[in-house]
Amino acid sequence: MMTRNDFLASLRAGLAGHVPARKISRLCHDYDEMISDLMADGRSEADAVAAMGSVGEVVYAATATPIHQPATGRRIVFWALIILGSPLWGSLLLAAGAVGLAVELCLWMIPLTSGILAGSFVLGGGASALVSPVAFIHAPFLGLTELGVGLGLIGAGVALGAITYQLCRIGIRIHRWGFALLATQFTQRKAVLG
Amino acid sequence: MKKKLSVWRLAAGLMAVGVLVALVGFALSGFNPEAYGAYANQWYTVVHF
Repeated sequence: MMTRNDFLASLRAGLAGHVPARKISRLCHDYDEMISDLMADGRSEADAVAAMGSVGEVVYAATATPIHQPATGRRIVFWALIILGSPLWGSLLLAAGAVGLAVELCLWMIPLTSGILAGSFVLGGGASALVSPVAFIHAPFLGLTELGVGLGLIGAGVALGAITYQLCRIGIRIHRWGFALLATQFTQRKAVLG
Repeated sequence: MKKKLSVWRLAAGLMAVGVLVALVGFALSGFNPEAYGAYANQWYTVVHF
C-alpha cells in the first residue's frame, strides 16, 4: 500500500533528470492537491493514491508531453494581459502611490513642524535677547523680562531642534526597516521560485 | 552620548536662566503685569536714540 508521501517521493525521483526542477515541483504540488481533494471527499489515503495511477504512467505522461509552450506565444499573451489589464492595475498602482505619499507626508510633517518651531523659537528668542539692552536702558524691568523670555525661547528652540533630530533619525530608521522588509519579500519569492 | 547630553543640558540651562531672569524683571516691575501695558505694541516709545 503506497502512502501519499511515498507516491510523491517516487514521482519526484522518477521525474528528476527528465523534466526541469520547476515542472517537478509543480507536478508534485498538483498531485498532492488532487490526493488531498480525494481524501477530503472521504476516500482513504491508499484509495486516493491509487486513483492517481502508477508512478511510471505519470512519469511517462509528463516526459512525453512537451514541457514548454512556445515562448513567443506566451510572451504575447503576457503583454496582452498587461496592456488590457492596465486600467485595473494602473488605478490600483496609483491608489497605492497616493497612500504611500500620504504616509510619507504624515511621517515627515511631525519633524517638519518641530523643526519650524525650533527655528522660529531660536530666531525670535535671539532677536528678543539682542534688543533687550535697548529696552533695559528705558525700563530695566522690561529689558530683563525681555532678555529672560529671549533666553528661555532659545533654550526651547535648542530642545526642539534636538527633538527634530531624533524624529528624523526615527523616520530614517523606519524607512530603512521598510525597504529591508520589501527587499526580503522579493528575495524570499525568488528563493521559492528558484 | 556626551554630546547629546550637553545639548539637553544647554537647552535646560538656557530655559532655567531665562525663567529666572524674566522673574527678576517681573519682580522689578513690582509683580505688576499692568506695568508692561504702557510698552505693549509701541516699541518705538521704548527706543530713544
